[in-house]
Amino acid sequence: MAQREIVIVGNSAASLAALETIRRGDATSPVTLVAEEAIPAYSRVLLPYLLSGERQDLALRPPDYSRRMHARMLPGRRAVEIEADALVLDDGTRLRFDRLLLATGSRAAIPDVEGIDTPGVSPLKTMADALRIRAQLPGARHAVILGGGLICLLVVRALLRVGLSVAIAVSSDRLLTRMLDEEAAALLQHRLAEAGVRILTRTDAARIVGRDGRVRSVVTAAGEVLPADVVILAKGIRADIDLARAGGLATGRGVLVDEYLRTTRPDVFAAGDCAEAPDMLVPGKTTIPGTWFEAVAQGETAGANMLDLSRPSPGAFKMNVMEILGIAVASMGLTQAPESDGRVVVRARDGTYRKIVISRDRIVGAVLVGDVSEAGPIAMLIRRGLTLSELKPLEPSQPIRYADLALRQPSVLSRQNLTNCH
Amino acid sequence: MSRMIVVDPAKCTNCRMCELACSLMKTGAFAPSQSRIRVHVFAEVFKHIPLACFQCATAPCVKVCPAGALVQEDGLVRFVAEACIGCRMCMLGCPFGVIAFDSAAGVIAKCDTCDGDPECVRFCTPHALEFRESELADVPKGRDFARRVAEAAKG
Repeated sequence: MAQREIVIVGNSAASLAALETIRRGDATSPVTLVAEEAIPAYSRVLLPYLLSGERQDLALRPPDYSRRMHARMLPGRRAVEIEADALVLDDGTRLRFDRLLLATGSRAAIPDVEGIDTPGVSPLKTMADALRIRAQLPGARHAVILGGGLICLLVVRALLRVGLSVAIAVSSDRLLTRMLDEEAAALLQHRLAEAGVRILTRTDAARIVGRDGRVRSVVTAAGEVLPADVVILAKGIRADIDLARAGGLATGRGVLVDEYLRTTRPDVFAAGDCAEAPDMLVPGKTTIPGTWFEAVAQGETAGANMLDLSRPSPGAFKMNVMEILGIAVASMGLTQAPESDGRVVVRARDGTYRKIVISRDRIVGAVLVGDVSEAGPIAMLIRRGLTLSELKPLEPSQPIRYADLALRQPSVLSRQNLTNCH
Repeated sequence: MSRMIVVDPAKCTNCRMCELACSLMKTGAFAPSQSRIRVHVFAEVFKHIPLACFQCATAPCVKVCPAGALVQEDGLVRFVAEACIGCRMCMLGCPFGVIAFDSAAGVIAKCDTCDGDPECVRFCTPHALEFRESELADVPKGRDFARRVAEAAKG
């Protein structure tokens, strides 16, 4: 096989998945991985567990990983420019490449609120954020979380564990608007309230007040004063597209890629939180799923295509799972039926909830609360795009089990791409 | 070539001894809901299909685990309970739905082949379950399974 010089920017889910995929197909081409953070790859998903003290070591891979992968690692370096055949780093180093992957991830969105720079106010996106927040925890009694996304809920769990009282202020009418529908969110909010968490909806922070060099309170738009020894910003993430822009690549909210995860430059690819990819479930639209799961999948697809294996992705869709205070929640694809041609099958009882979203005879989404055992088979079905009639026919009100699918439609497994991660 | 639990659905009588044996071995109690192998019943074709982790050669669950709790080792997908945070990302990744959750422990539960001497196989009197080297270990195991299921449905 011809040698290619491969450069990867980023050091998390998408980059590692790409690197490992590349090494499965090409053991010898030189690969260099550039990472802005000067520490070995760690799991961002585990950052809340660092806060709560449940985890100290967040390393994603063993210490001898770069040797095993035959890859040169350049931690603590920022890439600043993409030239015709080289990536330029902040120290002036030029890395020649035949294939470049941008997996620059995302940054926490920082709301424009008075007092946002007060010590004790921080997002939880990087290891540095986590260490900074952890240092504020001894002696702290009250925490306020601004924003109600996934990070918010993971942080709630950690803060409750270390004994803080927690208030959440969200501008929308409920938590997890991107991941859940109203019914599922209500179940979750009920559980949080039971655990003593205060949830203020349709509320924005008007001002953050500090005294003696640390945060004391958050004043809401309604004028209520919420005591706060620590304030966590969970207002979502923004794709990090600075490098792509500097390199003249087309960008929208993220770096625009096609089904091969290729940017507007044929030798440059993008994957993970920085990539804006075709939406599998909404034709003609693009999406940034912003999930660990999809980052791994995109990294793999990009890695394969960087070796010219011509492996298209069926498109991206968001898909996530989490547990909060003993309740498991999974969400895949669309959480509401498309107005024109959709329908839903819902079952709610005893604090559990199951919703299957169907459009044009295909399952295009699901929300599961309580029991998520069907999540894997449903995710596969959505990705494969099989119609219910092809499945002889599948009755979506019944539990969706793999063996059932195999029995009804053996070809479920006879084609390639059984899963996106493969 | 590694040994795996090979299922012959045609021989399964739905006696569920595998579920009892597995749960007793893993939890110390007869608790089929905690079994790492589950028998799926298909009334319309009178078939019963035991299903446990396929120990995939390139396993989606291992790839998506954000906590390093699933590792590929000696032909097995090994589960490290101490590292598991109970996030269930693996359950989202596994198309076969064979990863269970142990709510008491707050971590997932999956087949580990009982370190090479699976209890379910020992107690499977109709020999629907065998633990042996499979010539199909190198191809996606699910595909082999689908073929067997299709044959069973016909037979």
